[in-house]
Amino acid sequence: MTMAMTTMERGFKVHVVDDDDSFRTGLTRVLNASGLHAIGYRCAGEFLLSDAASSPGCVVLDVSMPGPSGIELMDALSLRESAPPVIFVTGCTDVQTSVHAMKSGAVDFLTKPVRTDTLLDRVKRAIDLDRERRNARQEVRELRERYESLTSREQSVFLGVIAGALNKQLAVELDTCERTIKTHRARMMTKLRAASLADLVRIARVLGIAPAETLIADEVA
Amino acid sequence: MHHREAFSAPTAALFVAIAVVPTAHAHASLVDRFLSSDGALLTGIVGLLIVQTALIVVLMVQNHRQRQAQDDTKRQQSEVAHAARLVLVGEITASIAHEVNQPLSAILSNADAAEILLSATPPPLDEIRQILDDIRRDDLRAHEIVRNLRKLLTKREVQMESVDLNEIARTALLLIKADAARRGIAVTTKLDGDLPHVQGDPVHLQQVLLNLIVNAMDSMSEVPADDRRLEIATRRRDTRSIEVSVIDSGAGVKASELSRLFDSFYTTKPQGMGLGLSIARAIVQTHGGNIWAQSNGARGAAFTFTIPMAA
Ligand SMILES: Nc1ncnc2c1ncn2[C@@H]1O[C@H](COP(=O)(O)OP(=O)(O)O)[C@@H](O)[C@H]1O
Ligand SMILES: [Mg+2]
Repeated sequence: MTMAMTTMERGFKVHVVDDDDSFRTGLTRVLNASGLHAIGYRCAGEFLLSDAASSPGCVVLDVSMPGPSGIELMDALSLRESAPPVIFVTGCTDVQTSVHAMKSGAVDFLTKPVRTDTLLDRVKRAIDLDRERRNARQEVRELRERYESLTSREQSVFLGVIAGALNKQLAVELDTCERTIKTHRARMMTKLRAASLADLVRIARVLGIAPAETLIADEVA
Repeated sequence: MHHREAFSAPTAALFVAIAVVPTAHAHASLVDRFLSSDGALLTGIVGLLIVQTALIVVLMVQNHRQRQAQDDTKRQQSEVAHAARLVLVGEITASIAHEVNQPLSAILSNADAAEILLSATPPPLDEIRQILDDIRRDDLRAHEIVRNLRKLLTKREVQMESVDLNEIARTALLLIKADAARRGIAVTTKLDGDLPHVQGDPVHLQQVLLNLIVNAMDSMSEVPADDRRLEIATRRRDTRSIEVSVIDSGAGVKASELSRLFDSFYTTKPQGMGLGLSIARAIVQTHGGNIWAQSNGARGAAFTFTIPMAA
């Protein structure tokens, strides 16, 4: 039974949102006993008002609650970039709600009565997912900062290079000599902490930057 | 018990008839004989008594037959009411299952938590004791639902006892709570804290209220989610009766339809049977009360029934 939680879960919280006192208490208790950090909320509003809605962790959410329903909370959360993954808990009878839950972006769902090993397994997976998402968002933030530290010249060189332009072509395009391009290119690589063209292409993809169309066109022409 | 009575009364009538026939010819001149002699007077009195007894027995037999016929309709009524209760329970099964599932799921989590905590050194005994308390409470909670469900499912004739209508309302609420939540309906109660008990059959009164609630919830399916409201209220109507109301913010009832709602088989629902309200009315009338509907235009309907207070 005991699935000892590793340090991997440290710093992550499990938010249990359910209006039923018995159910909520039971669930938070078994999560806490298993070495996780679980907190209970009586309703969707109580959870949304806390700062928990954007801190690391995951949410275990009952779909049928009075007031704003689980699905509505889900919708409100999906508007936030840093919202934690949601695991829905449903009564075994509402298939329709389960389908709706998955469509609205829940990562998983559990049926009552909730088995502890299943619960711990799903919660661990949700926390892993949250960690991955957070890491990915962190990477994007860092790369964007680095990209924004480039001068506009360096940015143009970056766009040209990922479009496959040669230094010579870039010199013509940017109306300067090849040596200057080389200097810009070296500085740009250092600032972006990139070692190769492959690194640059990956950075462009992560940042959602498209290669400079004009240079490709020139090359083809 | 019932059957012995049923046979014994006619048999007694037969015996009396046999005894009366020989004296019947003397009946015509009864007055003459009464006046003529002492012996005749005695015969006359005995004859009169016999005739009287025979009449009483005949009346008793008639009365018994009438009662039996009444019993038959009562039995039929309670059978129809029972069948309708089965349908009603069917309509709120999901809600009841949820209400049982909830404590059962909590018991499972709590038992697992206790087991994990027991292997700690030292085990947190206070917390484990608290967990056991909760398990006990949740078990009783599940039991309570099942007990109420069983009562609704068993067949019974109207049996009067002292009933707290607030209790009836709270139980009804418990049974439909999850259903209301699933349908996005906000349920409120206004229960008069100082409500005297009434004489009534708790299961049948429960049926009346559940019927009104399920109808009210059905009436809100087309209403925007934010406007789905249901109120259950109890209060003293006057010095003689208590009233229970179910008020909804649903589609309402057209004035022209108000009088037909309580007719058997009147329904506007594709899956409806149209029996709920007619049975509700029969039950309320058996209790000596009244039931009626009021429409609040397109902003909902209110259904109210009264039950006389215990004398
Ligand atoms: N709260 C209500 N609001 C609007 N209409 C109602 C309400 N309650 C009952 N009715 C109407 O009365 C009809 C009869 O109700 P009922 O006898 O319970 O049968 P059923 O629910 O099977 O239709 C319903 O079909 C509906 O048209
Ligand atoms: Mg009905």
